[in-house]
Amino acid sequence: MTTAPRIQVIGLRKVYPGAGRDVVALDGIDLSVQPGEIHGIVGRSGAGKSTLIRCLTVLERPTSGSVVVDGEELSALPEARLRAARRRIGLVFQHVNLLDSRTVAGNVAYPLEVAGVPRAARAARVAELLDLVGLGERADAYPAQLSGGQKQRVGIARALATEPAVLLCDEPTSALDSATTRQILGLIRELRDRLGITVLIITHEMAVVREICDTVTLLDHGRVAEHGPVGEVVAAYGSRLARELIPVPTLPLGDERTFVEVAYSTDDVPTHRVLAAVATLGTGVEVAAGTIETLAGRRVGRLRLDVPAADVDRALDALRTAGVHAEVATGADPGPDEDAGDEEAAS
Amino acid sequence: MSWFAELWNHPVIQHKLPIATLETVQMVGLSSLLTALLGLPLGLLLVSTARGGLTTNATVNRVVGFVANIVRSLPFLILMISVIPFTRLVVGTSLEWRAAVVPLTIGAIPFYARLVETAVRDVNPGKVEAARVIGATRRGIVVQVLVREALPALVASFTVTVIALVGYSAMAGVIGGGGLGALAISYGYQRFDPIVMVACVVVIVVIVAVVQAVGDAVARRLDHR
Repeated sequence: MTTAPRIQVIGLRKVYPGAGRDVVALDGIDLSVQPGEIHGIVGRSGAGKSTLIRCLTVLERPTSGSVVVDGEELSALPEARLRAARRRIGLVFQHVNLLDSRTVAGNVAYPLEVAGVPRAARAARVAELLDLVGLGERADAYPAQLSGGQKQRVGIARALATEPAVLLCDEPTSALDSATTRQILGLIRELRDRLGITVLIITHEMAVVREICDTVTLLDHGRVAEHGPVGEVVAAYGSRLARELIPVPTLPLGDERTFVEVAYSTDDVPTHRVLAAVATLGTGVEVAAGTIETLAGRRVGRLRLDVPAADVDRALDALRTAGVHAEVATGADPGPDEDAGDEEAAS
Repeated sequence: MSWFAELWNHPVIQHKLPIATLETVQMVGLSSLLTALLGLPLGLLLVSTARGGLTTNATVNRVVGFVANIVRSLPFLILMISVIPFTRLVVGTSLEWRAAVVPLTIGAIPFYARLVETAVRDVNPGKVEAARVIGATRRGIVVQVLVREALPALVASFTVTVIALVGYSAMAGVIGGGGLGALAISYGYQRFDPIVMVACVVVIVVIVAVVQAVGDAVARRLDHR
């Protein structure tokens, strides 16, 4: 794409001075999100996700590097200019953080009050925003009277009040049940489609990435470990993101047998051809686990084959000849941390 | 003569109790008002300058906290006597209810400030963060987030403070502050008139009950959690 990215992070570092040893939370992050894109940031706890979102809003000053949102370099702005610049960023929190003393309408009006919008215009805008998130009827309710999903809708309406160019969501669905999660994610996608807003979602739930993200970045120990469009990432079979986005059902722990892991995309090989190739391996080979999913317009299958040790090399050859990705995996599905070394060899 | 008639026709109760009650109400009312006006900002200063506060300032925090602790650790009777020169400077005399307002206020300010500090510290920091991202100024955050969100707790703390002031105000009677305390001491203690003593106790209990009831009702109306 040739358009300027809506969010551009270059060489972002955040170091917390510690007693004796400094803690490096972010170690040279590069990130770029195009206008209208929904970008997911995933990673385990401690990978630097929260620090990243705090640096994007400059709630924390980056130690070095640059943060450009909607064309403005934020990292070096003085506090007063930063306050105005933050109106171009909407932030949605995991725990919503509504003011309990204000009604739903009052909460949504708050950023408009801060921005100095006159009363009449404020009321009209609040009504419009509440309709947008489907809460028009609950304007006079207090947050305590709302369900978790409704609270998050108010949080989203509040974040959108000043018509920001960018919506940052910090674990927006982590405190919600799965049905409510789907509704909130559906709302976020709908808002992107209707308003053209750029969305960055921080999450530890792969389901969020699968549901709505166009592009994804995996953070690990304060660095970008993998990134790319979701469709491309899942097709990089050996990658950690592919394994986590389309996980093979786990096998019992402690099962030390040899398994061959197969991955393919129906763009290259249709499923029946893969199964036919498996059938030619002989009666000793069993499919122990498998999944076929459609993600970002791409149908991807992953199988785990139980292969007698003597037949492994022959099986790998036969499967690769059939055009599928095949590699040896041992025992139960290893976590992404443990097999970090393997995947470089595989790819 | 019935017990009630004896109470009703008692000259001290007829003539001095209403005046003493009014003095206590004035004494407590004015010192409560001053305590709210000065104690609330002081409490907010303590929270804001604390570590992780909006304007962290260790020196200010330590000095203010130290002074507050000293005043709070003095028994009220001693505090009252030791500030007499200051009271004379402000009011012109160290007698009468007006004079009692000075030590009462000085004693209650750090008491309320500490309660304010606790109440405001209970406001979820996420709300402050949300306000910062919205672009609110520090002053805006203090008023619209910290104070507004802590308001039910601030009212409850204020109720506690006013009731403590009712208790202190009786002690102020000892050094000529007037009010129900003075009446109870001069008639109940020095002249050993149990009827006056009981009457004073009843009036004080009623005052405390009314303050508590009003405080609770206001706090409940403000609380939307």
